[in-house]
Amino acid sequence: MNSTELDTAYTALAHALTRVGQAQSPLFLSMLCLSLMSRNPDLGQVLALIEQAEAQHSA
Amino acid sequence: MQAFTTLPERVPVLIAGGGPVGLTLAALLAEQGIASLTIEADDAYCVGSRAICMSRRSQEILGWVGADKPLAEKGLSWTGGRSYFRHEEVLHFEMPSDPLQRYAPMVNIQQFYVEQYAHRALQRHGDLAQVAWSSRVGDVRDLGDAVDVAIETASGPRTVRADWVVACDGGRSTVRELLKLHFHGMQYEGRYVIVDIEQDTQRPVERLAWFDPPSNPGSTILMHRQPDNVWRIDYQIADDEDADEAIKPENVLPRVQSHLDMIGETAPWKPLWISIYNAKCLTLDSYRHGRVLFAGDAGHLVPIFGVRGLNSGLDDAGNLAWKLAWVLRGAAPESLLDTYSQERVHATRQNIEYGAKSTEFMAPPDYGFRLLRDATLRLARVDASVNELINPRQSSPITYAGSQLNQPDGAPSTGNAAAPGQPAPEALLERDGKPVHLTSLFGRGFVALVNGTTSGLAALQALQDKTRGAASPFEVVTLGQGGYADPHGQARKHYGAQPGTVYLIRPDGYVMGRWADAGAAASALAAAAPFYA
Repeated sequence: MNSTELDTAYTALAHALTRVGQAQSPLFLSMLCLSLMSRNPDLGQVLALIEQAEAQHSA
Repeated sequence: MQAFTTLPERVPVLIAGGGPVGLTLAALLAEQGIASLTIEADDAYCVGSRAICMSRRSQEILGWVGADKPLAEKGLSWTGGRSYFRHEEVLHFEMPSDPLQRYAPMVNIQQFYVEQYAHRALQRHGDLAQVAWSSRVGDVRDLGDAVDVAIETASGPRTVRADWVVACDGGRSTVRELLKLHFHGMQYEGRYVIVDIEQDTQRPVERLAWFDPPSNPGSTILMHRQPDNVWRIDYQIADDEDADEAIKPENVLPRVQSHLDMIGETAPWKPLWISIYNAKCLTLDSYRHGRVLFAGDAGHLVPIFGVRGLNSGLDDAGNLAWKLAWVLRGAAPESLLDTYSQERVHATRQNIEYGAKSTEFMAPPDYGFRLLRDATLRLARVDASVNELINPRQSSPITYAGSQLNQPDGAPSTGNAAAPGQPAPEALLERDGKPVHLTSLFGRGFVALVNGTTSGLAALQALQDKTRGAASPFEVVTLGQGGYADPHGQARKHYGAQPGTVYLIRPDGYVMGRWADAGAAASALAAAAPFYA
């Protein structure tokens, strides 16, 4: 995905998050992540990204 | 500035507003041999530094009137910037630039200097471009074949009849109000305080941004250096802060001090100018209303982030000047001015789209954008794949896709960089051993760029000979033997290497058409001929 495409996806996700609202966002984001993970052919990368996000989220 | 000017009774172009766009337009018109009268309510150049980042394209436009040199000498050029999340650097970006370039991608300079250089440029034309300071437009009456403009001057009311009026009178345009026209669009709630301070610094010239800095937790801060030891500092205020309170020095100065302390700028400093801003995406639906045209903030307000405000206003002036000149000479139909509106309204909509994206990151408008920005900044520390989302998407010239002026593309295989509707790419050429930037040939008349020889070249050259010495001559630039050399391969890179290709470039430096077949020169001539009939 190039930076313009990432930008477009970012904007679409931001609008969706606002529509879904704060309370339902964890569920919404979990569903989205599951869909993205199931399409990623590299399990090692998925596990590493989970670890990375966990390490950074509270930093 | 001397207030009194004996106003003419009649003038081809009356420009309402002597800011950077109005004064540049007057200078561009004078360069084309067109007389104008600029009406400015203030008695001098603007106060406060206001718009400070001048794009490469703006420098090119100012170059058409010779105002680029003082700008480059006085201004501080830069090519990139850094963004920080708290203490950590999360983005270091560089804008495209190379050592052979004519202009830096961006130059920081106070707006009043730009006004001064544009004013000096028009003064070189004597009475052709007059400026009436301390004068206000009181009424505008479109008579169909002319416009009567009532003007309040220091020495009483006057009426001037103009063929065309161009409103360059800013975001609170009097002309727009008089014509009962309204902006359409939206604005963002997030507000930024803008502060200019004077402080000695040795820091490199870069765009600096801090998200959630320890100096001002929760805020976003931008810093730009300007000439004369001036810093521009922008910071976002909380949603519940009162705007009037927020700009009081007792509330501004501690925040600035705290940030200067954090980044280690310890020299004594003093505030010069404080203002407040929220991002707006507003435009008129058309920039032509009968004989009244709109340029700059009078016609559109775009978000500050990405510096598309004044830069797009100068692009308006660059687009409009040659079209007005041709219409006033009777060398083009009035409908040419409709293409000004079409192209520049399109440009505004693009600028708003990019500016909105910048704003949604710099001042997230709602829950979704806030959450995603928080996520991006945290992730950017370790995952470079998201860094580009932090990039401020600086202003760049807009492609006039779908413009009526574009000719059908006769050389699509040459690539998209110089397709019809694109700003003509720069190329450092050489003639008689001297370097010549291709863009330095723009700003007057049409330019035909011919790769090598082609049948029909003689007819193009005949038109060049016929128009030599005119205000807007037709110019043929031949690449190859007997013409311009391309020692760095830049022309080949952007315009293709196929011999016999002909590009027709508009006076404002946009590609109008290109052809690669045996009839290329004839096609270019046919497209240019109506403008030189």
